[in-house]
Amino acid sequence: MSNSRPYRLRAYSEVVDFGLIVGEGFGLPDAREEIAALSLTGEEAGVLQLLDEIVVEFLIDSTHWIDDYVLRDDPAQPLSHWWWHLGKLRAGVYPAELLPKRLREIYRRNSASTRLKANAVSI
Amino acid sequence: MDEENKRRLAMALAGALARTEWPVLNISPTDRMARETLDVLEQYRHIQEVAEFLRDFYADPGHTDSRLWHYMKRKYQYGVNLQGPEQLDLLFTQVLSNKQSKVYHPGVRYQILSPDDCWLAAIEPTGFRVSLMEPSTAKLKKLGEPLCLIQDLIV
Repeated sequence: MSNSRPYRLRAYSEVVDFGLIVGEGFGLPDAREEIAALSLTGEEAGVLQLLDEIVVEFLIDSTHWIDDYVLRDDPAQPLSHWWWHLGKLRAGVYPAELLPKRLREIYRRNSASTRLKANAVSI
Repeated sequence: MDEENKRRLAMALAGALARTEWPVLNISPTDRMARETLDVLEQYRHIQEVAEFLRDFYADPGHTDSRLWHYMKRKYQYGVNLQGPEQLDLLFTQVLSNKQSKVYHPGVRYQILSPDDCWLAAIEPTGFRVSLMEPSTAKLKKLGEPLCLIQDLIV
């Protein structure tokens, strides 16, 4: 059961919905990594995409508090596996071209919006 | 763990056991995370507790009771059979008061794992209850060695 696709999706969903929302993300990269190599059905892929979008959107919104340990990147992991590099995403220094299209759009749009807010504050 | 850290942890636990306060969440209704839950809840608007929650939420989404948000999400989005938000408090209390529960400290907050590995409760150092999560097997492996057991704090 613990190796099944629904279980792994549920594990990722759990850490996003009940952890990340309060700034906790213990095991988030591991939970996401466990799904990366799976062959998902269309419906499961849709769920995964939504969860990924939630993570990226939440991370780059500087108004959300996130504990530092969540943002400690693992340099031993490939950069293309963005879930190991949440600190870079948060800081807006992750190479956008490595993200899937939908995540890239959110990342670029929200990063620009965050920069505008920051500029407005500093003016 | 030195005596000072042990004292801080004991204070946090005592606080979380004495007061069943959860923090206030600042939720934007347009965020994807919120939208997913709100869309599900709209399907249950005919139920009084859901209608009341949605009314209060939209009146002031920046001050959403974390306990209610968790409850609504668990019950209506995840399909967990909960009788009321106080059941979350009961679960929380059971985790914190079990002598065999394990304590971890990955960041600012403490995380307490029930002996059966079913629930992971996060609390603030100030004693606020933060979240109650179901840890996956991957997460359990990652947790590693606990800081201590609850029973180590009892003198």
